[in-house]
Amino acid sequence: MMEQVVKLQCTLARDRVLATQSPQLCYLLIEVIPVGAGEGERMPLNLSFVLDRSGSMAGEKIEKLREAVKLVIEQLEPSDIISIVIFDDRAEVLVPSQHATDINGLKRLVDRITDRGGTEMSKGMRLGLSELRKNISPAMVSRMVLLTDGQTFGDEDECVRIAKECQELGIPVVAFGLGEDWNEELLDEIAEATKYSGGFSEFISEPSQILTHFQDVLRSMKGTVAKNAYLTLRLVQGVSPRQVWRVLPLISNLGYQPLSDRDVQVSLGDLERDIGQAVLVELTIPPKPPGRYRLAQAEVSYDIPSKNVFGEKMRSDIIVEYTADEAAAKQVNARVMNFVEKATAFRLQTQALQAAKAGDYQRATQLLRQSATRLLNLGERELATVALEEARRLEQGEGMSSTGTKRLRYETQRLTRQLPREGDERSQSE
Amino acid sequence: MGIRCPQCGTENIDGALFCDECGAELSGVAVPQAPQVPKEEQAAPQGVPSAEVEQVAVGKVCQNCGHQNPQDASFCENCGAALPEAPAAEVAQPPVAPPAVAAKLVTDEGVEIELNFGTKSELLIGRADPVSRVFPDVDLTPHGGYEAGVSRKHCIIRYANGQFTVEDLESTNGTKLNGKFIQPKVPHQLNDGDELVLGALRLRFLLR
Repeated sequence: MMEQVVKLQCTLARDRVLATQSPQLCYLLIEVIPVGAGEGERMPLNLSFVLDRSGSMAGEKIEKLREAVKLVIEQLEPSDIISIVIFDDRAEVLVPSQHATDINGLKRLVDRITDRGGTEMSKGMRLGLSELRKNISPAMVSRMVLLTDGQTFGDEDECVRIAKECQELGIPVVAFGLGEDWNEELLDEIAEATKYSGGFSEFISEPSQILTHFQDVLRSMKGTVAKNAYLTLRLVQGVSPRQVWRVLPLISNLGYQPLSDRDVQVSLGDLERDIGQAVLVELTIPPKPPGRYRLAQAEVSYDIPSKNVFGEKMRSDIIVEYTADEAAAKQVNARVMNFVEKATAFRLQTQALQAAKAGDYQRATQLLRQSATRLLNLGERELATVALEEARRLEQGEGMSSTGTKRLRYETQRLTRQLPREGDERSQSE
Repeated sequence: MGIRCPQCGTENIDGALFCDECGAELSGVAVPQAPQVPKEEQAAPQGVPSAEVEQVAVGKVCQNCGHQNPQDASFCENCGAALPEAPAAEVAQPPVAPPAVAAKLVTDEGVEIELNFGTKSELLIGRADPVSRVFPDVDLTPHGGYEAGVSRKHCIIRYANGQFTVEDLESTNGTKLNGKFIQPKVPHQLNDGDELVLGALRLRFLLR
């Protein structure tokens, strides 16, 4: 039981395929899930908040932000390290990188965050990174948690450069955009730069939701048991990869690095207990006579620094049966099918937004409707309604709405896993 | 060989479950020998989701035009498109018929709480408290209601004119419907599969 810390499970959409004369597509779901082990002791955290305190944050936004940061602080332990950087058109280190020992003192500092000035995000990110660096260690779980509600002025490239530095150091950047008026492309680029270590971007429509999102980041950090995970697929001759999606914990298009003609590798980054990661691979497979064949071998490697385990490997063979039995070849694994459908909805939505941005409204409208069809079929009525409304707006020349665009963009990445419900710190009723 | 998408006509590689071009479901279409529908005979590409998409009842729904065909049909009676041999294997479909007065709430742990209306048209959802003598129709205490901040009189679920509604009773921690707090004392339409969060207790509302 102790050795079996990470579960590697490979499932094909069809484990029996038709022995045809032509190549065909097959979908492979690879799940990498740390189970059981590591309870009791968790890895210490190295967390840096980089927070927008510009004038537009005044009022409820900054109040809820302070509240959410304080709630995170309350749940840290002395082995954890925290730093807080606040920025407007200048940036300042409010809490220098330190162990979370003086919880009340830290909370008093957070209360000092007030709104003022303009927005220059790169200055904040630069300081956040340098605070994170002070205590960087492979044995710690690190994150830069960035929150902004506005446009940064003229330093976008520098922001992306800093994100890339974070990726090199294995620090995921979680980039939150609050409200309506922030630069999605920039936050997406920042997230994209660190996606292999687990960075992502996210839309917070209401200040009251900051808390939920921050709690989710904290929970995910605390649940991290393995780091530096890589998935390698060794394909047999004639099998080639077509597409690689991450489908858990969030949907994203991963792409892959070809290691050689027949090997592909995907960096997975941190692995969270009981959730782990799931990757959906589309493979083109060659025609073969009936019989059982190995298509590929999946190998996962990872580190568990707390147990002094580095480069631990697990392997699993992916076997398919070619058959002449048409009925058998029609059986589709419902779970894999569901992931494929969600990835498809995500893809259609992404393409729709790209088409809209490129000015091809007709194609965007069509894609939005098609993505709505998938969303409806998945039971996601609310999101489907948003897609249809945006399609209607485009058709009538109104242009897409800011909220609708953001909801489609960020909620479809969560189709496979909803944001966990709010923390336990609820007041008692009545 | 390939699979021609019944919706947009794009040729997809065998084995594809969804069309590369338009995302239409292909899993049931993968019959290599099946005669392909000439493109001219197809209705205009139709991406508009219709009620039929969700309500797969008995028989086969044409993926091209949405027409409801008998179970044994191989081609659509309406537009002639090839029909899937078997309904797409166990893809979760919302329940079919409009509900009789029968619904349930399901917790995150998968525990099902029957909404037994009997002759009533509304059910009080909350937390039993013998001290203040509140005994709701549905007591959430066994499901962590107290810890989650469910109020004694939290909300009402009503059934009228074929429609379920939920109304928050000015509960302390509020009621969320599909992620949004609902205004207290105002009935909100409740649909199959909706998520309710009472305080911090998440429940899924399902028709039976």
